Amino acid sequence: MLEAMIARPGRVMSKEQLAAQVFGLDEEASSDAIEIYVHRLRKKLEGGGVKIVTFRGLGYLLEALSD
Amino acid sequence: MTDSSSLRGRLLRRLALLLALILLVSSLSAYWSARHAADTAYDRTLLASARAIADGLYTTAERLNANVPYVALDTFAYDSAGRIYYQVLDVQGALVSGYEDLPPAPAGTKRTEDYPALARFYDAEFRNQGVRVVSLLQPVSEPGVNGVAEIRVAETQGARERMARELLLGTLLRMGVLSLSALLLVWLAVSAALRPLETLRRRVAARTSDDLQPLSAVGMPRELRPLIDALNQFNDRLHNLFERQSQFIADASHELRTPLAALKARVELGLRAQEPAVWRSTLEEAAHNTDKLTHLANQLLSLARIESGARAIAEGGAQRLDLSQLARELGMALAPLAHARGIALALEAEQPVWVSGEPTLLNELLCNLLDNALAHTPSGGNVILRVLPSAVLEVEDDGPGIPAEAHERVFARFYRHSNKGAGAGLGLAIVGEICRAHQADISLHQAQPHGLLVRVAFAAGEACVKG
Repeated sequence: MLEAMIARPGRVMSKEQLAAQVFGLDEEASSDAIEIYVHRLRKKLEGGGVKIVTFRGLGYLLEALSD
Repeated sequence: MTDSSSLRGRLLRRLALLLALILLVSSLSAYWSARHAADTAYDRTLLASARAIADGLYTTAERLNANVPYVALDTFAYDSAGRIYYQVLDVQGALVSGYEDLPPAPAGTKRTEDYPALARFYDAEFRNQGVRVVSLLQPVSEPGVNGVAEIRVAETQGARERMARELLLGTLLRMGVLSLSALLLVWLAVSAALRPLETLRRRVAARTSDDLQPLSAVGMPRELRPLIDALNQFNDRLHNLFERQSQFIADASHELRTPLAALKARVELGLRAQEPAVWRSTLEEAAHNTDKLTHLANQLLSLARIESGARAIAEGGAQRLDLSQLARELGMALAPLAHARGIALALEAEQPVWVSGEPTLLNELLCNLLDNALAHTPSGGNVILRVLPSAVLEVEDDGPGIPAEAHERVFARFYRHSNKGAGAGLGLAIVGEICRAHQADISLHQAQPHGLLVRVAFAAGEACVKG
């Protein structure tokens, strides 16, 4: 999932796009599952150089912290 | 000139049909009355012949004899078409004189009421030709003979038919001449009546392309007034359109001239300076001003594009579009920019909402609304993009908003509500024009607790259609 977001730096990824990257097109992925993944990923990235920004209704953006 | 679109041809065809119908009916009735006239005339002479024969009846040795006077059969001599047959029967019904197989009156033939005689007229067949027969009953009261004798005189139909035919032909000829002259008169009358139309056509055709003076209705028939009024209204609309466009060009040149003059002054000032640092700041400012000019030029182009887009919609070129999809794509594209400015951008769109429209124009509309919202929202603020199932699009921000009394004016071209923005005051004018092209209603509202809510309501009939 992180790979998917790194692959498109500075761009907003919708839940559907993330689900297609993570699970492949065959599997039925609920948006809840993506939310859980994002939550876990965000915890793991804490203290790192990047963070995930949420846009309600739109998707997620991986942002590099400047400091 | 007889094609279906010609008024004259249509009128003449209908009239010709009507006249033909009248001609047919009147010919039938003329023939019928000619036959009746012939019958009346010939029946009288037929009865006279029968009476002449009756006068010649005499009795010898208790037997009835007939002395048929030549004059009785000569009545028709002047007419070579007619032939006369006669028959005299005595009181027992036995043949006295004449042709023995002359047919009797059919049962139920009434005696004539036209003449004071016991006479009956009927049509019959004799020797393979149609004959008209009179049967006269003559009472005989002589010694030895007492009863009623019968005299039949028959005449071939030829003469009557010829007379009827002549009468009919005369009638037909008169009617035909009458019909033809009626058609000719109508042709001339229609031509005369259509002349004002031709005059009007010539007057319109003779105009120069920029002559938009209203057409004069003086001297025109009342029936043409609505057409002239409609043409003049169309003229008015064209006139307004031209006025608006030349006004726009004037405004646009004015808007372009001011920043260009500022740019030129700045550059000249920089040229006079000697220090490289001043050159640098001059160039930086010039680049910034050029950006603004580019933005302005782009917006002017957009406005020009809307005209052709609106024409495409009016000509049926609209497509079915999902507003939610459009909002999502644009939201995702602008989210990084919003984030960079410290604004939280959110989308509220639950389901596909279909409207019919022109995709580049709708994209332009949404882009302008979002740009405006992002420009007027301070860092830390929120911008919400909303698509409602009733084909309503909303952009809400929690910036300072626009006071209600200025809501109307913001759609005017080159109007700026505040001076701090970089825009030329064309953004909302573009939005307004796009809404007009889509027949969508745009309204501004006060967001709670503060901020601006722009609502675009598309025609409800075009929404909700799933497919």
